Amino acid sequence: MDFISNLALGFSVALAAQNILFCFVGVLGGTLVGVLPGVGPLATIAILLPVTFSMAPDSALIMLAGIYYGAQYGGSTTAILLNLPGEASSAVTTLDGYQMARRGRAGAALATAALSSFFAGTVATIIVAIFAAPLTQVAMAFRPPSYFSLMVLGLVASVVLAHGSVPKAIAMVLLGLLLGIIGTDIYTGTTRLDMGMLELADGVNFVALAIGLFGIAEILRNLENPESREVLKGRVEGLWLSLHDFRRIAMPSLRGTAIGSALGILPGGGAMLASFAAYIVEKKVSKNRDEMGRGAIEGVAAPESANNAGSQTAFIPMLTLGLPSNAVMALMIGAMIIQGVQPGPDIILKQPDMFWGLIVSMWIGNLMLVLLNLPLVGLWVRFLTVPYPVLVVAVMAFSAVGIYSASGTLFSMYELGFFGLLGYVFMRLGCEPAPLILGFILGPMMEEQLRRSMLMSRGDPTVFLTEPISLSFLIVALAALLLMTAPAIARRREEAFSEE
Amino acid sequence: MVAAHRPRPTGLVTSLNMQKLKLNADIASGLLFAVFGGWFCATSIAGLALGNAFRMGPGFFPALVGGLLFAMGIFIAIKGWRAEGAMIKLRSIPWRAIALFPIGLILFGAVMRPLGLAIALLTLCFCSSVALKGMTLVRAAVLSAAITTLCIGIFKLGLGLNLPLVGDWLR
Repeated sequence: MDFISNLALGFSVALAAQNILFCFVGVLGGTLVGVLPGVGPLATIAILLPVTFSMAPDSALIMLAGIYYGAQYGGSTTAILLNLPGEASSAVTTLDGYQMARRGRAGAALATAALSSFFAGTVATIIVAIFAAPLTQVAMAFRPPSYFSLMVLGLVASVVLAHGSVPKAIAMVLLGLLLGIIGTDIYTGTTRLDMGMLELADGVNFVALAIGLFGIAEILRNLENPESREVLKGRVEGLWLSLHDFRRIAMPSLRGTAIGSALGILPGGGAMLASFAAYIVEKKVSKNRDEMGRGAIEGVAAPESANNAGSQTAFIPMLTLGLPSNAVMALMIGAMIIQGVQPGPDIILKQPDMFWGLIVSMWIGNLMLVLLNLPLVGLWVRFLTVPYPVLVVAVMAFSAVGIYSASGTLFSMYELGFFGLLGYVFMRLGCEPAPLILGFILGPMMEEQLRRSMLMSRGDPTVFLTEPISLSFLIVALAALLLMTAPAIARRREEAFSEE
Repeated sequence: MVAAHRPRPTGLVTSLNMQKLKLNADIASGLLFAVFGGWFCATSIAGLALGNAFRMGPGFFPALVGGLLFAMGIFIAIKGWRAEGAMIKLRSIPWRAIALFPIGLILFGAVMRPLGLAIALLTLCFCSSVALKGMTLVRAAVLSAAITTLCIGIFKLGLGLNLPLVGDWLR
């Protein structure tokens, strides 16, 4: 059995002493920063990214993945206790979670979130393990035109699923592509678009871009409205569920897991879409649907399982194709490239230990989170009382030390400041930064595949239409774009996103 | 997450020669995109070999994508021009932080080699904290010292970062 031996290899890597430690540090750090309102998983990963540079690639990825889940768990804790989603994908959890907390069932809500997430995480990990290898085989058969078209599809999907205006999201993707190719052209060795700055010969500093756009811009945005938070008074008790509760969450968790796993694989999908979809489905099919929105336990179980499943299966396109399906995966790919690992279909052949180790560590990390979160929830609640100025200054200091330690140049601090301000300007102007990051990562890959395709076809652009796989990707991309700009659907999309 | 919030409709209305000049969020972002796209496109055409579709030069892809971005920016701006824009609330923009955060970061980088990590962190933390509302100098100093200690503890002792605590000039 290949599957068993692969998992065994994965366990041997993931259970190595230093990897268990890094996984633990990752989930702990992720939870800690994720709990703090105003700093979501993207900002958390970006800020903690440089810390992983000195590690071995497998440990670094394991820790980053841990930060990712940890921040998501932290996000649901604040959603339930404070009515403040720590991140977009736990926005729906506030609806019923906070109502449960107000009725004195905060403990049960937290336990539901943790247990249904763990269940979903386990199932999704198995799905990743089963499907990753065969999909890699499929990906190996892709020729450059198919690759190019698949990237177009991925970018279109990220545009369609971004918040706000479609043209602005497209513009952000294009700007990302352009920023991504600043530096030295790999074919001719010419430096290009560097404005005469020698420091840009290696391209724009990815870490400075990510931290600036997500970390610093987000803080500036938060400074606009003086923040008021109300910490739930009293101790959180009753962290276990009754048999009755278990029966009520069983089906919603299953449905949420299924929805989340499916939506996570889609390019542009991932945790946020999954949690919304699962909640809406639950509202339609649940036996207790009248209670939804007023503290129904199903309203916590379904979106929490969906967002966790979705965030795990989102690793599938990243690991098998080397293509990020959302901004978090773009950060992971950025981290891999910095580590000298080229993401793509050969990763599973060339570095099976890293590949399977990461997959198994996802499950171990989820297990750790249940153990960390339930008994320690009192500690996390304390973190909510950290005054905002302390948080702001600490984020600034962490970002600066992180980037400086990775690059060692004054120039990277200019870049950080520049992208922080640019990110804030974009947020103010209603342009979401996530598509830009995707474009930045895909820019060099797209250009390369485009050039190869054109060499193959002797300069004939119809090659993208004559190659069947490529054509089907382009048709799906075009259909998605047309659907989203159709007036009726655009309106419904507005409604879906304004529910936040 | 605050960043994910749907932005309020914003716009800036300036009167110029009795004529109303609209500058709402769509127009502003469209023009910004057009400037970026135009720059990338023009620089590639002017300074880089374009090649042809068969063998693309280093300038082909940026010229193409830059042109697309320029067109997209113009499209967004025209769309914004037609729609009504609301007043932007300039007062809600955290100007002090916008000015002081980058200054702090640049000082951090500039101070690192000559004076070392401890002083660099203190400078950055102080700049960032005085940018916040309701901050007194004393509180800013205490906060900076505390965060500096925390960072040194985590990065230097915990992670073994190899940045010198005390810089070249002070040794």
